[in-house]
Amino acid sequence: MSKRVFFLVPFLVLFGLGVAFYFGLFAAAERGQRVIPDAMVGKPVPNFDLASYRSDQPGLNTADLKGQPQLVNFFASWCVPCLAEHPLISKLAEEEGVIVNGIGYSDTPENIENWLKRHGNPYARVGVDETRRIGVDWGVSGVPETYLVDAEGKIVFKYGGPLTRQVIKEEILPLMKGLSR
Amino acid sequence: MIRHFLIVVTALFFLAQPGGAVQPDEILADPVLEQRARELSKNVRCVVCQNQTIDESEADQARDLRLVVRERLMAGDSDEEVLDYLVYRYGDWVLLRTPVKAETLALWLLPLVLLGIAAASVLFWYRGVSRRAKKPAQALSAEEKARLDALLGEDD
Repeated sequence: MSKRVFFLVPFLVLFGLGVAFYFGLFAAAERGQRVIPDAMVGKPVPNFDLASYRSDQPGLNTADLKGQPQLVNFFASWCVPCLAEHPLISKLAEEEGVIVNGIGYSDTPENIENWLKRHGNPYARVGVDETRRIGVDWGVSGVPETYLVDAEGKIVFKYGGPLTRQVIKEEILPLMKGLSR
Repeated sequence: MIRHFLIVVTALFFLAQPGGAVQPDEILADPVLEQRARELSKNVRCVVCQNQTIDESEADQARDLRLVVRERLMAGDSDEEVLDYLVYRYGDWVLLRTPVKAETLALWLLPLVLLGIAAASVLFWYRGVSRRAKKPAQALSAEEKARLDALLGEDD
């Protein structure tokens, strides 16, 4: 009898693997999410220096991201989810006093200027990454993406996709609070 | 005439190679570097389409990484340094062939371990079967013989 049970083991193992793979495959798909690489979390902000959308506006570079914790938000005028999160980002900047910087990704200075004119500009500084080359150095895989940088200029958190009230309340604000202490 | 034509056309099909997604403006002037770029691109994941290589994908972000691969090669990087540059920014995930290291050892060795277990199981099972087959047949007991005779005798 005990020997018979032994023969069931491979089938049970196979079944278990099948179940695990099934959920691994479809769990992410059901959430409508793809893998968002976060290899840059824990590393210093890459070296970059981007001009703003207009020469009389402050651009964004590596040195700007030192001194106090702040957010860097990759956005684009052609990006619908960016428009969806824009009111939340404005609220973060205006009501919570969080410094938010923007990097216009794969977009022209003119389009970014018009977009910010129409929807409001909550960003302390804006850099324009028209060629997406700086996006590669940040490990960006699409827009919107939001990075939290500490006072030493180290990336401590990354969120891919449009920000939600929940992410802001449960992750970003507590992290900001912990960093500014 | 037609036969020659068909042979030539068929031969041309064999000459054709998949062009990938590389655009003419991306190609490096140095054919050796370009070849290295193509080979490296076949092991780099497109961060948007995720199951395509940057060599196959026409996504903007795949083009970005193809350009970065070429930029690093032009700067004199070795093949490994080019991949390290991408892994630093996107993690091991960006490589389609997972590197063998401490964290990925289970991934690489588990199939071999499972195969070993399967082979051992088959071996044990096979030895059991052949041992049973080798056992000499036992003679019938007197009682069994009497019963057999009775059954065989029924036909008469």
